[in-house]
This record gives sequence, C-alpha cells and structure tokens, in this order.
Amino acid sequence: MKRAFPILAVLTALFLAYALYQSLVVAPTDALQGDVYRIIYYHVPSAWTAFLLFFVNFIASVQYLANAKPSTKQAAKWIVIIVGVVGAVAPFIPQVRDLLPAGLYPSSVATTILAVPVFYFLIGKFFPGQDLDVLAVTTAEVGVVFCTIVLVTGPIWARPVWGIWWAPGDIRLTSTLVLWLIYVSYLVLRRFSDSAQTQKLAAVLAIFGALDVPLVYFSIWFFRTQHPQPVIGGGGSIDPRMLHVLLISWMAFLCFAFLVCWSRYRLEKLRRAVEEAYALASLQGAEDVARGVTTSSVSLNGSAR
Amino acid sequence: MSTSTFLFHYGQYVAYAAAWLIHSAYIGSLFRRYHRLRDEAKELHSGTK
Repeated sequence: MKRAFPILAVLTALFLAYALYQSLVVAPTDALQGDVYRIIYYHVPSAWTAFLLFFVNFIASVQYLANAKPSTKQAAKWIVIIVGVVGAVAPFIPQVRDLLPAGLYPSSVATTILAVPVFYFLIGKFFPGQDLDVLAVTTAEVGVVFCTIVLVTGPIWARPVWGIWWAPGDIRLTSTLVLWLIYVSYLVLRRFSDSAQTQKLAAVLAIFGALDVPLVYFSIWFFRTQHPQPVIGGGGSIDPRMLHVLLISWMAFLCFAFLVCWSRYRLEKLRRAVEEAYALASLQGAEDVARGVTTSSVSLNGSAR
Repeated sequence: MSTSTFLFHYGQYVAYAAAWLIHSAYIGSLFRRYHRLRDEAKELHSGTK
C-alpha cells in the first residue's frame, strides 16, 4: 500500500497533464465563445466530482446513522434494496417516463438510482463502524474543495460571455452556492463542536445537504436559467470531440480526487489515533495519581495504627 | 484591456491557475496537518516512555 500511493500519484500527474494538453490544445475552439469555453474542462469535471463525493458522503452518513441500532440497520438495508428495485424499473413505466424532462433517458435515471444500493453495500463492506464517519468527513472536505473550484471558475467564464460575474436569482448558481454553504457549515460543525453528538448531527446535516444535489443538477432541466442548458444528453449538441476531452478530463480529476481522499482519510485516521492516545495517556496519568493517593493514604493509615 | 476582453482571451488559463491554486492550498493544508499530528504523536510517545 505504501508503494502504491507514489506510483498512483505519478500516473495521476501524467494523466492530468494529458488531460490539460487535450483541453487547451487538442479540443476544437468554440465557434461563438472562442477559447474561453475551455474552462468547461475544469469547471464541469470539478462539479461532477463534487457531486460524486457528496453522494458518497450522503451514503456514509445514512449508514452511520442507520448502524446505531440493529433494527434500523436492518430496516435501512431493506429500504435501500427497495429503492434500487423500484428505481431500476419505474423510469421505464410510460406514466413515469412522461414526467422526465425531454432528453433525460430512463436508462440514465435507472442507473443513477441503482448506484444507491451498490454504493450502500460497497461502502458498508469496506468501511465498517467508525470508518463510515471518517469517510463522510473526508468526502465532504474534498467535495467542498471541488465545489469551490466550480464557484470560482464559473464567474471567470461568465464575465466575458454574459458580461456579468454572477446572475443573482439564477437557480443553478444559487443552489450551487447553497450546497457549498451547507457543506462548509458541516465542516465548521465538525471542527468546532465538542459534543458527543457531533458525528450524528453532522450526519443529519449531510443528508440535508445531499438533498440539494439533485436540485443543482436538474435545475437546468426544469427551469429556464442564465446558466447554459444541458449540452450532454437532454438534446444537447456538444461536439463529440469536445465530449471526448471532457470525459478524459473528468477521469483525470476523479483519479486526483481519489488520491486526495486517500490522503485525507489516512490523516483523519491518524488524528483520531493521536486523540485516542492522548485520552489514554491522560487516563493513565489520572490512574497513577489516584494510585499514589491510595498508597499514601494506606501508609498514613498504617502509621496511624 | 478591459477585464472582459482579458478574460475572453486568457480566461481558460486564469481559471486553470485558480483551480490549481485552490488544490495546492488544500494539499498544503493536508501536509501541515500531517506534520503537526506527527509531531504530537512523537511528543506523546516520548512523554509516555
């Protein structure tokens, strides 16, 4: 494992360099926007990566809360299975399919919903007990970093193209900002609260935060926004060469996010181990003091006899 | 050159630099936290000996 990290880091760096070359040199120039559109190759992959990380955070938080009691653990397991089965079938039922916005394929919806049980059981298998909480804080923090990049790179594109840095009232922009604020408050809560209930409170907050993710994603499908309408799926007409570069870029960002999450996860484990060692040491110290007091009181008793 | 014109021509580089500045700052913070924890662990280890 110790050797795997540097090897993966080098491979990821090479992959990121390749993605950068594709983004800035190989991808064709947009006929209307010129080269500034190339921001899409970091803006969109960062957004997708942030969504994925918040999704993992959501699953880990739900599981952390559900595992508190055996009965809720069992119930959650069945609810997740039912969600998966219903979600895989429902989008293909004509009445439900008609509710989907034009261009949103039932297979995409089914696949996305099927990810819930798949992630739930995989995360439950590989992150038992407190590791779920470690995973939750890891993905929230790295997700916030990616979401920050989305919020910073968006206005850099908007200024020359829209003529304004920010479109107040635009639901895509506002919901993304709200999402960022929710996860920042999640991190602030974890950082500054000493209560024994912090982990549970943070898990509940994470669930509310995750509810904003579909709103952010689907806002451009259901509402008229200043933000561009979908260009991938949904009747969007992105050039296949641009789509190719976009996907390469996302893969590179995903590899990078994985490495950062790995580091952050190890750091959190180390932090908890050090905290535990401090607690044990102070307990040991208290015990030694108590033992010293008892010994002296015994000798005093002895001398008094 | 106005901000809009500048960003129209170089916005992709500015955004790229901004993205990696944020990532670098975060990775830097991870390193700082790691070194602080490692020092604390060493201190704890020497204290309990």
